[in-house]
Amino acid sequence: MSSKSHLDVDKYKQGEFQKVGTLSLKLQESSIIEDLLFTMMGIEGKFISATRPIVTAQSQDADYVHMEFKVDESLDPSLRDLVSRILPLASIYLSLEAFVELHSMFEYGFVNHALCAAIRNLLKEYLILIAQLETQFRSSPDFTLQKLWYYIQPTMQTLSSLDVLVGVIRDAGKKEPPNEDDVDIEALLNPRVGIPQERKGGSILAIIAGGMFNMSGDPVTKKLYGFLLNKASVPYISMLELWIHKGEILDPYEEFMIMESSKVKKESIKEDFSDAYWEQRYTIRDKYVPPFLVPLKTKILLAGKYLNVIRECGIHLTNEQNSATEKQASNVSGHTERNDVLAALSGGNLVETIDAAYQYANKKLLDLLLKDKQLIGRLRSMKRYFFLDQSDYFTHFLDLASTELKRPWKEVSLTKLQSLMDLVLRNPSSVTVNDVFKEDLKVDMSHLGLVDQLLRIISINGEEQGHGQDERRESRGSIRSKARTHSRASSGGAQNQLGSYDSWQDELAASAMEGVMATSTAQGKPLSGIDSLTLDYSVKFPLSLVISRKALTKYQLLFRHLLYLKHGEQVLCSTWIEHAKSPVWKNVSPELKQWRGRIYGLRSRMLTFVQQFAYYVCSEVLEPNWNNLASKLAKVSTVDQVLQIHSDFLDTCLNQCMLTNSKLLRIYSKLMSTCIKFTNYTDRFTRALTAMETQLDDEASAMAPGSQIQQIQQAIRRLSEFENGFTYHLKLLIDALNLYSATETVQFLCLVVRLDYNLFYANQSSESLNLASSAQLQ
Amino acid sequence: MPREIITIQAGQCGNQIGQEFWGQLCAEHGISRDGTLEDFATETGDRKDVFFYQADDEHYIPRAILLDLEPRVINTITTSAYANLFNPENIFLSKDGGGAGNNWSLGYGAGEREAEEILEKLDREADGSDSLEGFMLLHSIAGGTGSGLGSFLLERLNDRYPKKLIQTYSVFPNNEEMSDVVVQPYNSMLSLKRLTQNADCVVVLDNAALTRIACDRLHIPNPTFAQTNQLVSTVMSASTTTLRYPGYMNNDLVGMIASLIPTPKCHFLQTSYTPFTSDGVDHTKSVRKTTVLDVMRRLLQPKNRMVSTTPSKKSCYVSILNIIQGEADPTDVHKSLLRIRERRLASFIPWGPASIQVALTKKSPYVQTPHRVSGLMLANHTSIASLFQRTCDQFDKLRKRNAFLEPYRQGSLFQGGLEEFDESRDVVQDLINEYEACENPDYVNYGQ
Repeated sequence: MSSKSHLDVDKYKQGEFQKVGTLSLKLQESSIIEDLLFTMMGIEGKFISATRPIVTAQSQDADYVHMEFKVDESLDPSLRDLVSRILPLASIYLSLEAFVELHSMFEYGFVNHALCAAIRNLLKEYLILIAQLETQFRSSPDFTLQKLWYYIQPTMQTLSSLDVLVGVIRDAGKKEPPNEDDVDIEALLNPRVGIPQERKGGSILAIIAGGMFNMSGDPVTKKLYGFLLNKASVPYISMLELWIHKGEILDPYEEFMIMESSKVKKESIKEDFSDAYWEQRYTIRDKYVPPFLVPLKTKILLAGKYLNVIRECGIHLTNEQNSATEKQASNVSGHTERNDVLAALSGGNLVETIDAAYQYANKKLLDLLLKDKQLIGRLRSMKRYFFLDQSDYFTHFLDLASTELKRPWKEVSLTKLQSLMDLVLRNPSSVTVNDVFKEDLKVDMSHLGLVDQLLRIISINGEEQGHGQDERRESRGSIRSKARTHSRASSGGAQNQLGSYDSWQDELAASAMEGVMATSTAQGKPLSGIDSLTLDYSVKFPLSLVISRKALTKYQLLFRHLLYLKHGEQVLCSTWIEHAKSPVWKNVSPELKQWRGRIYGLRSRMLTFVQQFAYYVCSEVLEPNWNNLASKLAKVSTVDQVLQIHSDFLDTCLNQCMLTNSKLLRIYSKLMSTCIKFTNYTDRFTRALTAMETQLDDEASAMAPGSQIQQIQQAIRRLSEFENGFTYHLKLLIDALNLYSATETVQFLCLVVRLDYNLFYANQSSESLNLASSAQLQ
Repeated sequence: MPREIITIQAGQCGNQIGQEFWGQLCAEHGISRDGTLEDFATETGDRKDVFFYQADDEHYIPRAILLDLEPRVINTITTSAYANLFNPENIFLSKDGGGAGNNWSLGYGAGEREAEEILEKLDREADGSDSLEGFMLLHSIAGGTGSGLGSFLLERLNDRYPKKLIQTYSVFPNNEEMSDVVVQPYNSMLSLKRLTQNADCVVVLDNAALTRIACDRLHIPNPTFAQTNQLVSTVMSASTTTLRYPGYMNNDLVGMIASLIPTPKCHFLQTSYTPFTSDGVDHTKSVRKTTVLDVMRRLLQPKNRMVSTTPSKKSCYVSILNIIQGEADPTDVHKSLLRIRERRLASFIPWGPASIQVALTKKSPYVQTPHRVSGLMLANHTSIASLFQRTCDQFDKLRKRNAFLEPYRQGSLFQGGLEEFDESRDVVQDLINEYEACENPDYVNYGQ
């Protein structure tokens, strides 16, 4: 039997035996073990053959299809059963090998490399195990297939868990077919981007962490995944630390969660109307944020962003401070280094490290803005110049520049105005002389009138509203649409407001048209210097983050609004002086007293309106809101809060000054222009009055030229026009303000109270109503 | 240096008030008694140049012209601690030094005689300012110099500076009790005509009310002129705070006056101030709680008014400007406005929009007051006519008897007769009528 068996073996060695089943059971076992030991390393044996996987439509998409091994059918059934249980190990090994080989290519990025290294380590251990098994097999005669099966049990579990993971990674990024087009195009343009996002960097970590979470009931697998996660996250964590501690991104394979867009430079921020630098320079790639960092992602983003701003300002982060935080960070993470990612899953030390770094960066930048760059001082100085909180300088400036400003805006010499402004600001007795920032104030001319500009802005916002609900919401976020800030404050009423905006759409579109019309008609009569006068303020980085171009535009709008009021007040006051001081007005004949009284009355109504409006704007809108801003800024803890608070402040001011409501704005501009026209007419009224005086003299009236009579008649007509126009619009304004104070801006109530404190207009309208109704009755 | 104001103080009363006023301004701006800036005066945010200018050696000189016909008061000033504050060239003393003897006519005559010298001083001051806003005349209308010389100046200023504002702080005599100066009604009447025709804004202060306030509020049994003058200077400094501590609004005189005086003829303003404190008097009642509402309500109370008027049922406010100093919250102001309207604490003219304007200003950082908030009200109220009516009544009594007219005949104005008196009486009657008409809804059509 032995000779036969020997013969069999010889025959077998010569390849004469095709069927293992023909051998004795013992031989069958030893040859199959020998074969298995090869197969487990992915090499075909004599009785175990690999079958190429059949390419199906399904498997075509897959990157990798498992190789299948088949054992000779003739093997003893009991052995065959065991062997077939071991055989998947071989395909798993091959699959892992293939994965490691593919994912070690440079374009797969650091995280994949680290993961591959970890897997390779595990495979190495597996190979060592095979070598040990072979030694056993060769040296010990008792080595059976059963023993082999027993020994490889734990490894088998490890490798199959690994394979599941690898499978998930392979499948990742395949789930959404529409994405493939994008990927393909990108791949054509730039082969490096060919690796789908889901199979790189943070996504890998996400997959591992996800697997770990799913397997939390299986301690062994959980530990394995933990190990892999730990290893694979090393490059990611070091990138993270570099980012949060230094603000640098070392990410050649684009696998980190923060993306830098190099197109956005700080130099462009002055011209750019958006907050582009702040919003777009660094952004989060959501797909690369591992789930355990999701709650922290904004902090991570901000920490590095802040540091970058500091660095852009040319301030070197001293090593001392930096090492202090690093030390702090390493203290925190040091002794639990191995576990930090694991711990992160349950909110451990990584959180603290990030927190510490965030706090540090935040404090640094806040200090930079608030202390080194004197943000609050800046804002205060802007308040002085744009809100005229100590307007003596401006009164002086208007006095000096009055002749220049009467000319059409194109003929106004900016340099002259600038030198006048400098003169005023440097006047040693002015309160502005001690302002260190006064050099930054520039005089400018706008080619659009204030109301036109505002109507345009409103109409742009209005058009956006037309694009459907979702987009509207979006635009609200991105453009921070001015008209609707208050809705943020009262989210409860948001629904209502959306409704009312819909109904407003038509009207807004109409107003947009009118705005364009107004400008085109305005071209016929060019803006005067005073109408287009505005201020500019040069802000340097990093303060330009807070006082961006957009914020500055809002300041300018508010300023021009105030200027308009101030100018109105000033011209009405000079009309008052004319009325009070010139002999013609002082000593009128009794017959003309009534006519004079009407002019006085109208003038005083106008002045009351302008002054009360200015009071409202200054002391009920700007000052309280500014105080609010200042107190909030004193307590502020993050830079983004600063931005938010500041922009909210401006939006609230614009809204409460009713610059965001086209209807109110148009009524208001009508009122103001009536006032200004009236003051322009003062001289003609004076002449008319003189003419009337001569008319009273019978002899003179007989020889009075026709032009004089015409002049008088025209003056009388104009006065009635002014009276009716002003009263009509003022009542309209009060009604509109009452309406909006109930629906939108409560603050308007203060203005209503001021404009009609003794209920003059209210009574008048009810009286006229009564008159009308009684007339009807008759 | 915009919007400067030149102060003219005429006569005994004018100079005494002026003295207090400048003392107050100096204290508020941290200027020492000789015009140099105090070391602690480092705060900025004030405008000293409205009322002062700087000499070559940096010390501050008031834009003030001191006029008197007798040397007593001026001598007190020139020997006081403030001796070096004023520009000696701006002090005018009549050469004979005899004074006006409570005779309007003498004061007016002295003005005519010395016109050249006085106007030369005025012109010099006016030239020294960049954009002169106007003049502020401090005087009493009952005496001789302040009323006579003051009246003369009012006429001349109008001719010489036709576009400049003329504001006066005019102290009316205590016409509730008989005065030692019997010709007071004559002087008052003649001055009133000029105040009506030539001033743009008259802040009426009346000795009766000042005495009453000093008694009631400050608990001084028999207040001296120095003490009542202190009240006046407080009012003056408070009414100029918006000019000296620029804020959002009311940084020029015309803006304040124009809204207070819708009809140029009705330009007589009343003032109230609360709460009063006095240096000399410490035993004022314990410090009360001062909120904006308290202050605004108290300002409307007649007992705080510095003019004794007897309002009729129809009397109403033409306009009100409240200057609130100190830490005031705009929302409080709004609430107070609503409360006052609700309670009908103030009635307004029926012929046009009128309201309580509120200007919030800072307090001087150098003057400590026990109150958080203090307030001044400048109001145009039709009841002022009752004051004029009283003056007219007293005038009529004297005039009917043609009493004490002899001294006036010496003046050039009265050479041709005493028509000037009757003319003045007519002007004042016109004014009274205008104010009464002001109370009617159809005032806008007044004059038909």
